[in-house]
Amino acid sequence: MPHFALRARFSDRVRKLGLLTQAAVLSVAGVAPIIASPSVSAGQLTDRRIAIGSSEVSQADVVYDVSFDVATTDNVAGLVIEFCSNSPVVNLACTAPAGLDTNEAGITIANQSGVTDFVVDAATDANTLILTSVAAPSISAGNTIALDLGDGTANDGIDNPSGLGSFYARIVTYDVAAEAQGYTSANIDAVGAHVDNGGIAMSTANQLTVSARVQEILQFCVGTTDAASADDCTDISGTNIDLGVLDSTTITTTATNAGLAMVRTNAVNGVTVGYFAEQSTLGTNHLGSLRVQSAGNNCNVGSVETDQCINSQGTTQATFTAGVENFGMTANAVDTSNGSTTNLTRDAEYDGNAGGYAWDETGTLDTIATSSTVVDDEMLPLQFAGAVDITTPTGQYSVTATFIATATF
Amino acid sequence: MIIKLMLRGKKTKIVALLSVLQLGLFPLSVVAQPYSSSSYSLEEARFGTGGELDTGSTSFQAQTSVGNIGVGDVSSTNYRAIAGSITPSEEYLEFVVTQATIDLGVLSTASTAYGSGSFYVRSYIATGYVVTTVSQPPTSEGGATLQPMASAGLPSAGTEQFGINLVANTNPGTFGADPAPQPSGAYAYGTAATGYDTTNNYKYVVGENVATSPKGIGQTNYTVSYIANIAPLTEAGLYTMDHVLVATATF
Repeated sequence: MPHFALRARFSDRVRKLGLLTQAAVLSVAGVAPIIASPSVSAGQLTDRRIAIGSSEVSQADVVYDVSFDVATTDNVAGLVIEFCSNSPVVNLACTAPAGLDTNEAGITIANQSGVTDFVVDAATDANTLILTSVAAPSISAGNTIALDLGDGTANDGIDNPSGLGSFYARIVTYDVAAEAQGYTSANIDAVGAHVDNGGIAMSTANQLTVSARVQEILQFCVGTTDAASADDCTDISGTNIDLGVLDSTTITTTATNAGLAMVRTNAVNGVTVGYFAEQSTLGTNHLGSLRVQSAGNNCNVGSVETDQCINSQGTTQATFTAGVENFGMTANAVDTSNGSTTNLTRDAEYDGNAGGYAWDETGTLDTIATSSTVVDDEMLPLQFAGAVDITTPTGQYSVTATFIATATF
Repeated sequence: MIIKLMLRGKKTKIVALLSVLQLGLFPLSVVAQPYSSSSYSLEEARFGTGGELDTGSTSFQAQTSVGNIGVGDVSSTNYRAIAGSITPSEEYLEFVVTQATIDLGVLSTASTAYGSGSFYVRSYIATGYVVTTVSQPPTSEGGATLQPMASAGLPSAGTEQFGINLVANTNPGTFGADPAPQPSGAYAYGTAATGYDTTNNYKYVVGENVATSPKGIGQTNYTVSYIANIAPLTEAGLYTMDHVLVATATF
């Protein structure tokens, strides 16, 4: 019996020891994964986002604005941002989005906060940006790290994927730069344990194409009278300007607004106003000059003051001299009182600033005013001047000018 | 209970040892679905019956789901949960333009031109998203730009204007639509952003948010309403705008 009793006590002790051992093993086994697994110490980045500057497919040099809050208080010496088309989840193989390019050779890291000395590491490739910080500051949990990938200039930004739809970024932080440099998609802790990580989804998309048309407008009129009622071309009438009797002792001029040329256009590139002297079908030589319009009027070549063609000033304005044949025109101002713009500018040869006049008798279009943008009922008041020599033959002298406004839309 | 069984036979001891080994050798299944509070987090878990997150063997892999009693998103200031047979933890953002061509026709000083386009945003497990407009207003071949409306206002014929909103309108016509959560407001939460959320009022400022969602789950369909007016001297030409919108989700 004692023998059996001893065996029983021994067996009971053994049993208790076994129970304790197995309980210990179970406890260790239960706790082991928590201790051994690096993912337990790592946290998930929060408030994480990447605001892409454009959702357009294949758009080059797009600024990606990255921001996240760290989950674990630690030094941040390395940051990996990997772009994948298949999954935002770390430690999975990553398929690079087709067309996406980090432009690793030229991309800069702008507008940094939290960590302010990130630079692009040589380990960066077309879809994985590896940033390292020498300062490696300690960032407290909940604090934000933000930065811009690129500045949007040539080769300084991310080239968007070429495909429509979702793509992803995996963001991983490290407290040792070498650990970031050793990052691999399938094992983000290949060199050393990371600190935090998180995934982000983004998307490219088609654009909404909006179109509208604004019709072209050009309203142009010439005349001699301004009714001044509607303040537009409907006010302008008349066609004849009379210089009166020319006298060799004086220079004869019309009123400063004897002629009127008004223009209105919505041409984005403005308008050009010019004229050309109609070439007489009667006689010969100086066909666009102030001349007697008759079949037998064969004027001389050159500046002769004994024929029935009054010499023209030409395209360079000049003041006239009494007793010396000359004919010309000028625009003394631009009348902007009818519209809302002040965009019309007189040509330098017709601005009258030197008290001069010009006239191109060749029949070639000569510009008298221009604008580089829209014009709202701006008006050129035109003045004409004539002078004759004592030898200038008598007669009824006239010339017809055609004015043209050309808008560039 | 398992320990008691192990003490009653060699086979049960082997089973127990294997169980212990299993705990030690395959610990990741324990930590892959962490729970969450201010001091820890649960990203994905399965409670009860009705679905299986990841079932597999060497020859198959599957997720299973049966009828749901309750699905959707619930939250307060202290918690947030997404219910359903399968609620995967991967971040997701889908942004699709569904009506991409908007022809406003020939603009006139006498009336306001209008038209609409549409897109939808679908996201998952984000804390919210915004949709931002990043394009310049319609621009002609010559470089002229329709004047964008810097503040929300009514359309005014004869005054050069370009504006948008993301709600239903009756002026200058009956067009547009309010944001439409799919299938209902219980599952998605997108709204028009301030400035773009008032009927018959239009605005356009480059870089502003035009739509927002306080919760980043579900799909919301949006309709963008465009209006344009010209002044008597608005530069002539064909005005076009490749309207680039950007959806940014925060996770």
